Amino acid sequence: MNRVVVTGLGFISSIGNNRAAVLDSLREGRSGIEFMPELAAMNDRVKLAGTVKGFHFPTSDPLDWSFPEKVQFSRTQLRTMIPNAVYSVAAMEEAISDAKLNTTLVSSPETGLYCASAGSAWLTHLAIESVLTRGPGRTSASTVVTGMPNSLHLNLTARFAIKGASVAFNSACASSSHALGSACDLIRLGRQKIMFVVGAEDCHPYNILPFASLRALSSQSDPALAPRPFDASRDGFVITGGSAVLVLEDADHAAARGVNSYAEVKGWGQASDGYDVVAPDPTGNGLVRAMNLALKDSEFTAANIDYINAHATATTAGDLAELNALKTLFTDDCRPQVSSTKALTGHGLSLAGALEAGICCLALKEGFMPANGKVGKLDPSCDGVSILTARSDVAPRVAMSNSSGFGGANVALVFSTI
Amino acid sequence: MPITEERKLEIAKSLKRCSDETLEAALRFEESRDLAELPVIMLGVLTRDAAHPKPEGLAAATDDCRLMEDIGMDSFGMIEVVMTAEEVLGITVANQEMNDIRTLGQLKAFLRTKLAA
Repeated sequence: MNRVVVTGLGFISSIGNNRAAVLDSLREGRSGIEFMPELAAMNDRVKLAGTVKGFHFPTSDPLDWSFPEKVQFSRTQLRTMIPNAVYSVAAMEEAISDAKLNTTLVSSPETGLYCASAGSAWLTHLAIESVLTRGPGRTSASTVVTGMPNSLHLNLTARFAIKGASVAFNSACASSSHALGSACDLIRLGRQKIMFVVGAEDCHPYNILPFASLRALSSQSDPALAPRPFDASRDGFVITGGSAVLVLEDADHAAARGVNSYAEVKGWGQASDGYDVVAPDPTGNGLVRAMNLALKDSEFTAANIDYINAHATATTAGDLAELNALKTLFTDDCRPQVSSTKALTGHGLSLAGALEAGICCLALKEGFMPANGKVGKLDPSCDGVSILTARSDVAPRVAMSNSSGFGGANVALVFSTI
Repeated sequence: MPITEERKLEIAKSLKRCSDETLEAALRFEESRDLAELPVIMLGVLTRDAAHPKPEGLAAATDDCRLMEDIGMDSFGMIEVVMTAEEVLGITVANQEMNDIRTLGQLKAFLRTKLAA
């Protein structure tokens, strides 16, 4: 099988709108969570979000939207855009530049794109409202694209003239980890040389509030106090939006181009709980099987894993299931350092897997392990698991990134230094 | 018949981001139904919805100007133009009628025929 390396990264996130800013926030433990006035004004339960700074979407008319200076669109390019596709175009451009890909390589039959987003609940709502109230003849045709759940996929493949494999993944909070693992397989099998992996979400009350109905979100109003994964006082997650892009490339192809790599994708595993629509199996059995498969695929043992970027979102059920899974697989003899960077970024839903895979790549390349921020007092259930409450400057050689989605979908990704 | 304020607002909404000149022509057309206003309205909407409107504007474009190849109109742009024409000019365009409009001249002729009917 071909080896797969990561040759480019791009971020638009709550903790920074480029690699350098994200790296700095991770090193300094800087949180991207903020009080979100328009969200707080709409409900009495949830007030915080991992806001994406510098992007504003005040109305559904894309010409009213504003972006950081580096992000530019023509009127016709914007016509079919949704917020998470806007974030993704910016993150793609950073990743393309980082991987030193020219237009020919981006738009090649040997280059594909796997992506994940839940669509834009906001623009889907407005599209349906318009056809019902104004009628189809008075509704912009572009709402077909802005209202589709795979709108990100349609927009990105057109914008970057993608000619290889392209699929939109949808497995809730495991979506972009599934995308990454599947993209890795395509390169391993020799079916593609380069794969863009994109995870993205809007950061809008319409995609946040339904989770408040589920009582899964923190009701804190102080950004310093939420989310608190693995903390005894956790009270739910905080949602974030943005986009993370990884360029996966055949290692020989990358070497022939003479480009640097952040990390090697050593392997991955996926397994399902078979338990409940939303609640995780409390034993963590599905995640244990996913991690075991990832270890086998990457030809490592549990003892080889130095760092785990946990899925832990700061819900009691989710955190405890993951702790049980970690304690099952990693015993006293092998105790990897564990942190959930969602304390800083918020929970990116379909974005989470790609964002955290990107964070693992930065950690391996830069030689540090980011802290699990905002911990006051660790949940006693963490006994036996080494939660990093402060940054470690010990350089990890092998990192694992976990994702678990509603429906009991679990993915573990394994990366190593080059 | 004088235009109601409500109708003025509807027309202005349909012509959002078109030039003032376009809106003024559309409001005059609403009162007079004078086909002489049509070119200004049409070119104003095309300028708004085409990907590559000519730098000097479309005023000098000839009837053989191809909407897709010459001014970068795509399928979404054409539908926007047709929807705007329906809203502003008060016509109804069938799906199959749209398929035959490929040049500026064909668009002009189509609108004139529709409005004369």
